[in-house]
Amino acid sequence: MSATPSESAIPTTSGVVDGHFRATRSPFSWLVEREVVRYLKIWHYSLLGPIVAAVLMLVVLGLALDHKVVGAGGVPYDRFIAAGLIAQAVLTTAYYNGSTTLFEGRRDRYINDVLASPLRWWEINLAVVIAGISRAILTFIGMLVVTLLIVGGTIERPLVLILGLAGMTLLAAQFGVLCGIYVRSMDHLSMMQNLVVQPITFLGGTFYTLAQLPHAWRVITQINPMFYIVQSLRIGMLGSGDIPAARALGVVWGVALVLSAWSLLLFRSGRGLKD
Amino acid sequence: MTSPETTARSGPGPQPSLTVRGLRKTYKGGFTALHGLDLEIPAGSFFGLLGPNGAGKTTLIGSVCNLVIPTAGEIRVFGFDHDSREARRLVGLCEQDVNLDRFLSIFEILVYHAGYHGLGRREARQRARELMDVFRLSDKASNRANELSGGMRRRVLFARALMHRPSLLILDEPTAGVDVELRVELWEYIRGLNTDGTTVLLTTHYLEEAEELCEEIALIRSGRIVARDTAERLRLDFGAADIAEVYAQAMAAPEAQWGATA
Repeated sequence: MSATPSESAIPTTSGVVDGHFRATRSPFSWLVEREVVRYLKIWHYSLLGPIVAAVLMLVVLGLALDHKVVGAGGVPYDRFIAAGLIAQAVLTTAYYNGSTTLFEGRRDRYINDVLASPLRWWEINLAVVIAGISRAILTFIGMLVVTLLIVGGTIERPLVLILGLAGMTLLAAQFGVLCGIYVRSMDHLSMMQNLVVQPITFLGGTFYTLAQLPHAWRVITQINPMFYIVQSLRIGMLGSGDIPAARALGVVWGVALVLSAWSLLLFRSGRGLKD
Repeated sequence: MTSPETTARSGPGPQPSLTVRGLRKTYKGGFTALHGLDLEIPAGSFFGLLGPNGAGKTTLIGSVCNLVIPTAGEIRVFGFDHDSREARRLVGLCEQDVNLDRFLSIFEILVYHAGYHGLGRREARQRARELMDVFRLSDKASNRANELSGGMRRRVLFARALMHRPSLLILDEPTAGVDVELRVELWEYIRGLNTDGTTVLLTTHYLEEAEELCEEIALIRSGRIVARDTAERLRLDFGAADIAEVYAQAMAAPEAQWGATA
């Protein structure tokens, strides 16, 4: 700072003491709380909705086709698709949280209340991401409990499951944040959901193994990050998948870190958030 | 860094609450809203900024409050860089548009705003109750913004801007669409804050309001300050009967005469 700030015009109640910002409670924790409160207020839509939709898929597809189709390694089909359906629900939830909270805040301009506050740019990003991750983890827990009750089974490789879950929720939350910054209207947001997120999740190997696909589709599937997300959860739950766990986790975390870097750069510059 | 006591003893007066130097903002698409604007607002003053729509008032305020990325220039709030946490903590903004969080109740909107500025929960809740009382919002505490009338929403915006007790209060056309009774009440309260030491920067289209409230007035046109003084001196300089006439002359003057009275 080139000039020495004058404190004589600053009252002692201002929160600036000896030339430094002083907080009784961290603004960051307040924003995290606000973001969590936001989705808890709409829990029937934000948490229950994705779980019910995924369970219906599991019941209809899994139980109906259970005796007709067998998953990889002789695993019953309902157990085979369970990991993929959980991954779909978790990914969609984390994505949707980040995209809607930022888009709505920008559209209605109440994000200005946060941008003008002493919150640092990375704190805003982190708070939105943490909320998305926590919402996705709650969805995951709900899905896992229901899935184990319906189709049974155990968690074969918990560490892979935890690392996969952490990576995929970060990836999806940051993807949601990026969409929340870039979309210009509700139509854009719906378009992203219907033309990008949904096809990616359905073509990510939830319902089939790589070996069941023709060569061209095998290549396309392996370009899709969702494939690695499904694989990391499937390996965690069933113990094996189409590819080694390290490769699945490596791709998931690699994409998650690239999206995080992109998102943080946008927050740092203010592009898309500020005029 | 000098302590308040040292500053008071050693003589120099307080730094301006707001210092803007060479502020320029060109939006994507090429429109330049601010052309190297300079402005200094003394601490503790009630300062009016008048100008037509598109003159650059909201861009200036947005730049000060970190909602707009300036193309060039320097902005300081009580000597702190405007982007610093200290500066942000010291500024309270009541925006022109009603921008209230639609997921939260009125009480929560106020409490979270205080939280973003570093207050603890107990203090934030107490302050929210206090301001809801002042602005007669107490019976609407659990309502959401979309359940309130336009006037009520304006009161919430005022209360929110004041939650963290800012030292520089920026009011961007705060009484647009507000009934006379509420305007009188709001100004009475804001005048009291100003008397207690809060600097107020006001933009308004109600010229008589600015004339009555503001110690100093600046006229902005096409991103530049074209005149600035007390209402009385502006009237004398322009040979005008009231501030409305000053405004009309300043806005109609050819560009070559800009700044002649600033």
